[in-house]
Amino acid sequence: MGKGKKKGWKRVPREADENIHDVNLKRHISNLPDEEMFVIDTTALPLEEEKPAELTFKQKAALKHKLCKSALKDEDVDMKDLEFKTFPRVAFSSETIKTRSNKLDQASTKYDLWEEDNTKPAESTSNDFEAVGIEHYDKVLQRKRRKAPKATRFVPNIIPAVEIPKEGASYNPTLDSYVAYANQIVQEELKMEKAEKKINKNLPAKNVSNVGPGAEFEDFRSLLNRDEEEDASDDENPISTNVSSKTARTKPKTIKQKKLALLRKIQSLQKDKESMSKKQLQEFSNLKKTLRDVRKEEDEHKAKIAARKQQKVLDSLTKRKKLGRGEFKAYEEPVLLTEELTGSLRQLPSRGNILEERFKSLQKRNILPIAGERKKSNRKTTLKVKFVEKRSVKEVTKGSRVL
Amino acid sequence: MGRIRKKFQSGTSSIYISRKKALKKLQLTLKDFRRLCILKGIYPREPLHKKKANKGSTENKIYYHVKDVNFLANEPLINKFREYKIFLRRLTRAKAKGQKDHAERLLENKPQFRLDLLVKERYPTFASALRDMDDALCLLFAFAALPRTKAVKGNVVADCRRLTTEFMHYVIESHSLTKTFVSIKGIYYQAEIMGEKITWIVPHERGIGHVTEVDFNVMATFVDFYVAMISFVNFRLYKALGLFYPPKLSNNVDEKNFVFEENDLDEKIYSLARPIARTQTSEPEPTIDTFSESDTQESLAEKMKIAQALRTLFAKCKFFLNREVSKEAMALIIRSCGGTVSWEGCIAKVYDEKNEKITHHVIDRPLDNVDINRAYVQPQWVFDSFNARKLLPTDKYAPGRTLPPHLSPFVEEKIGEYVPLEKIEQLKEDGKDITHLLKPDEDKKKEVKPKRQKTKPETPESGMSVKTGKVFKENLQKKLNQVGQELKLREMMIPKKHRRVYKKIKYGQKRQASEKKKLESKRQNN
Repeated sequence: MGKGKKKGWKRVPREADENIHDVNLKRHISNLPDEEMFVIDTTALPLEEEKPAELTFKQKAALKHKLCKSALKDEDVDMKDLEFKTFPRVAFSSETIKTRSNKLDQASTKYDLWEEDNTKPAESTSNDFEAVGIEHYDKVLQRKRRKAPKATRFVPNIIPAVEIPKEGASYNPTLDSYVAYANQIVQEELKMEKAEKKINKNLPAKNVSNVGPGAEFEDFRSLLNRDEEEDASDDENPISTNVSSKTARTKPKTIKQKKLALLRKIQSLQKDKESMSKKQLQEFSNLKKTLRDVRKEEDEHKAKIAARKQQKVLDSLTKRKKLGRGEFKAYEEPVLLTEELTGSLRQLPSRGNILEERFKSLQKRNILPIAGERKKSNRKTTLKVKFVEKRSVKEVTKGSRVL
Repeated sequence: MGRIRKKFQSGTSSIYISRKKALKKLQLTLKDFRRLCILKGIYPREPLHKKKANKGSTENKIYYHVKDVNFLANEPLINKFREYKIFLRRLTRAKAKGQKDHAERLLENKPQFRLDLLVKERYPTFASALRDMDDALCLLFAFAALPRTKAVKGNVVADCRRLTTEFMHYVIESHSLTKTFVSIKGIYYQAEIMGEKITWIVPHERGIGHVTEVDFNVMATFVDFYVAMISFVNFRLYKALGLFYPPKLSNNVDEKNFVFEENDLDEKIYSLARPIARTQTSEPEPTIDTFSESDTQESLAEKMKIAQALRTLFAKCKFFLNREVSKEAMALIIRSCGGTVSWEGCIAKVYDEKNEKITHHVIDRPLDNVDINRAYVQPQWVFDSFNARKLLPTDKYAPGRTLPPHLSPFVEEKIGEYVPLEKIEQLKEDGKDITHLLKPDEDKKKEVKPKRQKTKPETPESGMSVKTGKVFKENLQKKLNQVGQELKLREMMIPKKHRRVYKKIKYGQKRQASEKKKLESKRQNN
């Protein structure tokens, strides 16, 4: 491994904030009085006094066998004299057994996260010796409060998280506001319907014709037959069916005509020249105006460029960006039909889902990407059966058919 | 020769990295990566030139900034995710082997991680955290009403409920609620806390229907983060106001029975019916927005007066809520204006239904037994009075009557915009100058009732009549033209493979016909 790569291990940033939670927890625990940390189980209830456990014959015999081996060998031991101590069973109440995590969890959020603690850890200790040590240690280990990199101070969107509701979305709206609101939603619905219609129109028509398979040739043939018929009856019909008839061909021009045409051409060219010179004179006189116009146009153009730039910046902060393949379906604002506008809060039907609205809002504000469906690979998943013709020589006999 | 510079090694293509590559670099699963991005606040980017960023192809990918991904790589949470994965693996193994005690021990030592550091990183100042409260509150309120599922854990829902109630208690105690609006999807509230305007929606208390498009795992991660954030925000808000955190009831008489009635105590606090304990007795001054330059001394003083008046709007009123009315919404509004509220079955109830001092009884269904000493109102009265900043006449809101429309306080009157009639009348009552809001023809509209149905004109403009007709003459030329066009269409429809043959046949036919003509003309001439 290269030297440069090993250096990076030391640079794992150690933040002063890293132990913020543990320090506070320790502080909290050390400050807690004993009563809050521990609970003395005073609710233990002894059960009824139980008789000493009755031994079975087998157990008694085994005991006796053991006792016989011991010092009491010579003496005759009476089973009844032997007392077996039984301890009273105590019931533990389940309330007192608290899991470790419960108490600590509750303790952990009781400190101020944004407390302005400007004192450095070196200054917090009273011991000078310690302070010097901490400072040195911080320097060597490069312990600093790490800032988030510039790229992460990125603002995805400046639209407010909760958009102000429209007047017509009230559960008991005024007539005008309700009509305006309902119209808006109707417009959106119409748009969607139109798009759907367009798609449906361009779909290939399903099998409508109930004509058989040889139909195309029949059509073809009928066309030819028709042409023959038409050609036969062409002379009888006085009105011509030829829509595109050629214009009559002009006779060749005579010399006189050619000369006239030339003259006309020369005249027209001269006229153009004159008008050009006239135009030029006019332009010279209007020079100031034209310059002014040009400058104005330039300014407008620059202003447009600036406006477009500004609009682009604004768009990047307000519009929804396409992050990922998936399609974004906007949240459909809930509407009440006129029958449901009773004006009673109790009879208000449930419409719209806040969770869906929040989810879509997060997508709209460029916080969540819309990944879309997984890509389908074009690889074939089924095996193609390979048709192998196996022929054996022995099969070929007199009279056999080999295809 | 100079150094060969290859394409796509610097510039746009080296800044953006696709999600798949990022996953590979960080060695995380997609689920973990998503969680990490949400917790750390890393958002996907859209590069200006997609082709450059994607090294030549224009495929739609999700891009992240390379610096963001490097920032993620140093996150200690990744180790926690891996520990959790190992824990799960061990747990399933122990369970499958039937090692019950081992599994129990593993569960006891379940790896837990805290999001404190992340909250501090993303919101270095308290004000920045307050600015993001909108989103957080909406999500928590929405989650508090959910049933427990695999993605939505039970303790998360309980946490949401607890934190939202704590926040509502704070809003009540600080009298910072400014606007409410009841819409179809829920109730909008706006409060002004420490100079920041915070708007949130609370869904109506109805069952949430089938949700198809929401990814609950993603929302659960957001909720985890926001739960951590709001618990700290609540702590700081409570400290600023001088309240005990976690909240305790102010008149806690039964201290002795603390242990046994713990659950009940929580419920009492959750019910919002009683005030919570303070460490200081003085209430803070009302804070108003003083940043607009157009405010003069008088308008500032007026605003202070209005804010002070709002605090004591319902001070002399005692409310009782009927069973079908939404208690949280009512309690929030009534108590933030200084009133007292109670309802049947309230654990922390202050007074009973039959109490004589009750001034207003909020009821939403047809009236049964009438008590003369109290005013019966529909819940909209509370909302409208709050928005209007005064006690509206209760006769318009009596049960059974058609209510006046519920206006949104979020709409501001500007010159030129249409202002609804009710607002105009309200402003007139307040003695304000409304000439600039009225348009010339609006004087006539005032007399008309607001809910008049518009009738369409019934007589059509074009009348029906009978004229003498013309004889229909058939235009032969047109007919022939149409026939010709039809023929052309049919020729177009011939499939390509037959078109050549058809052309050749036609050519042959024409040649023959022209020859025939020639011969005939020759014969005629002869």
